[in-house]
Amino acid sequence: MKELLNRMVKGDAYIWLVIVVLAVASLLSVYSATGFLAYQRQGGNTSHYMFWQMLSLGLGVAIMIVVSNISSRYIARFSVLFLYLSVLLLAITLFSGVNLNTATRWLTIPGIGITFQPSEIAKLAIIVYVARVLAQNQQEGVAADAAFKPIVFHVAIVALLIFSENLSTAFLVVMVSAVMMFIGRVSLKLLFGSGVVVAIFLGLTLTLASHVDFLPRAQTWANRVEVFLSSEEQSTAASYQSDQSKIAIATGGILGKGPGNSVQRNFIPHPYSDFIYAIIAEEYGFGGAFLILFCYLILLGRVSVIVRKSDRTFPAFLAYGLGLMLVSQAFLNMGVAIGVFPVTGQPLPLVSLGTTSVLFTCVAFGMILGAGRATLKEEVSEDVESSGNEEYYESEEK
Amino acid sequence: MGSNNRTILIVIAIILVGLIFIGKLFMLQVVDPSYKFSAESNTQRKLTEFAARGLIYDRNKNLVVANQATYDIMIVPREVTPFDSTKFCNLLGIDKKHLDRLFANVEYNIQRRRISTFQPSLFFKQLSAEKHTILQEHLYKFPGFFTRRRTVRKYEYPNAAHILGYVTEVNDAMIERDSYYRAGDYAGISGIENTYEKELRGEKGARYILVDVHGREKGSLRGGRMDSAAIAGKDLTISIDIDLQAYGEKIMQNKTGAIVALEPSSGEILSMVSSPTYDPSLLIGRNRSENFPVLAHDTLSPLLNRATMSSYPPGSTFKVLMALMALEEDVLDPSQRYSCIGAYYAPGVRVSCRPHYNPVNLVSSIANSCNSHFCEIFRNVIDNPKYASPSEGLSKWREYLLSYGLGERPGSDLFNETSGFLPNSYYYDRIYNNVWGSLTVLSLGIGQGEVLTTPLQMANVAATIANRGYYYTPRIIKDIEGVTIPDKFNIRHYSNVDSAHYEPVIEGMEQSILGDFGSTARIAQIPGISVCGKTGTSQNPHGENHSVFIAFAPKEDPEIAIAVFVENAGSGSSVAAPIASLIIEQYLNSEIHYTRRWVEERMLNLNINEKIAESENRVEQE
Repeated sequence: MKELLNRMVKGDAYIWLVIVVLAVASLLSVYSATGFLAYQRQGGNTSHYMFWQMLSLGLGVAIMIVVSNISSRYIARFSVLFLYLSVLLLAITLFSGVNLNTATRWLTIPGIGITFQPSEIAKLAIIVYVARVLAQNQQEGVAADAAFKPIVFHVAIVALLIFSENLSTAFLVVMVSAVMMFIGRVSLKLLFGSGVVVAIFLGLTLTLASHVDFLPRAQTWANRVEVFLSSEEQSTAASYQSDQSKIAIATGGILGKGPGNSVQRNFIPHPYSDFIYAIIAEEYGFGGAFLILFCYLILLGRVSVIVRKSDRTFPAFLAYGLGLMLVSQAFLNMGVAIGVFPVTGQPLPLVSLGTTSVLFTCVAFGMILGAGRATLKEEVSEDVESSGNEEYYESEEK
Repeated sequence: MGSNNRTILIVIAIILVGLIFIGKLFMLQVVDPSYKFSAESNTQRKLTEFAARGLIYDRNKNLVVANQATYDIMIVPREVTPFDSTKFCNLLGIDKKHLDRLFANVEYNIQRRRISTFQPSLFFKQLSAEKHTILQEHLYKFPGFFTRRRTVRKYEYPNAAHILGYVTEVNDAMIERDSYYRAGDYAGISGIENTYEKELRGEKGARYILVDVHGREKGSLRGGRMDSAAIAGKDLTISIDIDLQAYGEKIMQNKTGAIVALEPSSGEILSMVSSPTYDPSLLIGRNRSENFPVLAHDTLSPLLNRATMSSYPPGSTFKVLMALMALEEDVLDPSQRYSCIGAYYAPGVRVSCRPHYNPVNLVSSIANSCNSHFCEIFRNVIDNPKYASPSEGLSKWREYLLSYGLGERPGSDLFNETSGFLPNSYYYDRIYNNVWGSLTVLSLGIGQGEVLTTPLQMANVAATIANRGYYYTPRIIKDIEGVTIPDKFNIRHYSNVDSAHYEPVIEGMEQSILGDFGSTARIAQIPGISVCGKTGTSQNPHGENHSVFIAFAPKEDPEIAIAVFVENAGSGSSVAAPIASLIIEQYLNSEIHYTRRWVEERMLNLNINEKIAESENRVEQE
């Protein structure tokens, strides 16, 4: 049994450490932040949501281990299938999804009655797809411009399906894909060109939305950006969330108020998801807030190490893309809490309460660990059997 | 694949963003204190301290409007325990159904998250002070309830309802318009309560308390050093003589109409009666919701202020204005004698007159109210050869009347005013298809036809004549505590008629009272006082003629100018003139001379409303 565990649970030790730290932070802060909600809705069972999160994390770690043991070849092979499946789910959600907090992001699985966000699947699927296309088009000394067309086509489909209901996720997808193409040596000319096209598209849509009522959330975006840009002196009803979040962080001070001593959890809306970082900063002070931020930086650092060591392109692009996605999502969440970005609803990966988010974050971690495991194996196999090149991924490339 | 330059670039960018975040975190958590202070706002709450409204005195410093305490019953839903509901109902003076309704309302608001179960919210409004005294002794039996003191108006006299107006809770529109108001505040809705709302309302105070996370009170903030006391509203003195007002209302009982009495030397309104009226106490507090609909649906419209809002044809009282403008236009020689043959005849027109001595000059034609002579005078004004057309003549005619404040809102500080109506030539062009002349509109000359005036406007005309040519904008305010009254009330408005022309007209007005047979207002004679007046009998489409009278007294140095309109009461000499004379006598002498007691009695007992109701019934039966 122990042997099996040893064989299964492999991969970068630092990344495992990051996962453990984030999971512990998640349980502590979710317990603190959901106390009142649990008291209200669960009849006094204050640990209801923490147990639920613990279950999600447990299931997530199991998934993570399974995924990390899947060979990257299979992942690459099924990437297109996954992508089209997620596109289908997104389309269904957009036209018949469950409306939660005025944004239609949720899909109910028929029969089981579980709701989840298909945009989480789509986020992973598109990154896997982009990594695969880039890997297929890597040739020494030549720009990978052949990858540009298929990538832009599929990223555009996914982003268009997501953006009307969840602008920030669409933004993350587009940005991470762009950075991956940048690293995947797609020529700058094409990247800048498409950047200009996206900017024009966004500008036109938003202008149109302010006159024609086809984007229900356009007003929310406009308000949030307006609040963000307006002078910070006046606090209005509209800036309530970010003001309360800043109060939480400020009153945390250097040392924090201590675990479970948050006051602001009673004033911040959704303290257990969108603003969980503010609760961490309030209870654990500057040190706690720094530690969480540092965890994500370590994750990125270790991903870079994996990328450098990997001599196969697909796992490298995959790990890099997923790492980038997780870290940017985390930064977006933290940036909202500390008031660097306008208010938006990105969960803090692995920390915020929410089963869909936790599970798919774990899938991403699993794939990163898998890529790392592959490089580790290579380090070992290089000694033992020099190189088994015919097994290599490149054989699949055309 | 190894790392290339582009990978390094991205990593550096992300590390930079991380550093920015750490910097911002450090600023917020360690350096910048501003958000630490704003955290306090979550733990403190501002409670409003209501200000008492200013008191209102009459011109003789009698207290007219005061304040009285009422008590709102507040509820903290979480603290309520089962209690003796029968006892509670008895203490509040409500039935069980009403109590159930109140609780249903609380539950509804809790479900809608409008109120918190931890925090006090309003349960029952405006319990009277008497009931509150008894309730307080028993309040310990009802945990979760407490009372909050509010002040409402207390009226010392059952009079002057239209002048004072009323106070009630502000509505959404008012809150929108004036940021001072919060839901549940009181404000003056009509009358002087509305006009001088800003002075009367005072300044709300604030008390800051510390609250816990559920909003429960935990003591005062910083020992109450931040608190501000409420500042009571300013006291007003109004120009009304409340005794005269009460007398006027008494004498107008069972009649429909209005009295306006002014002090000519200042424009101050001494009395303004609109009948039927109501007791202002009916619209205080809890009674308001019951009484208001009753008053609003009364067929005699007691809520309508007829003194400023009803327009009537002025009838023959208008003749004094015709005489004045004819003198100014030099189309009338005061000494010229005119022969009246019982009616005014012109091609296709006959205006009948009343019996009087013949022939008449200006003075006696005013005293006798000769229609024929004034038809002549009107035609001379309109068809004056100076002007090219009757249109121009009519414009001139209108210009004179405007200078007396007719056809326009008087601009007083009364809550609602209407402008009356003065027709112009466009109006007649439209009606008569551009073909009309002085004969077509002849009835204007005797105050009939299209011209409409309000009692306030005609009282102002009387005041202008009393002043021999000028008036002050009528006003109800005499003094505001610590504030000077608006300048617009200190400006003399001169009429377009030279003051020399007033004497023959005033002479005529005096003769209408002192003259012999044919003089119209001999009933208005007051021993020892020279009254000048003019009767009017205003024909109208609503039935019997309105009885009208304008007057001022004494003739030299006038102290009071008055207009009386009594709807459907017949001729001016029969009702309006005796009523006006009684008001003048009451004001100047403070009592009615024994030789005139019969006049007073007759006016008090006169019930015109009943007569009208009877005749209407008769019509219906037929």
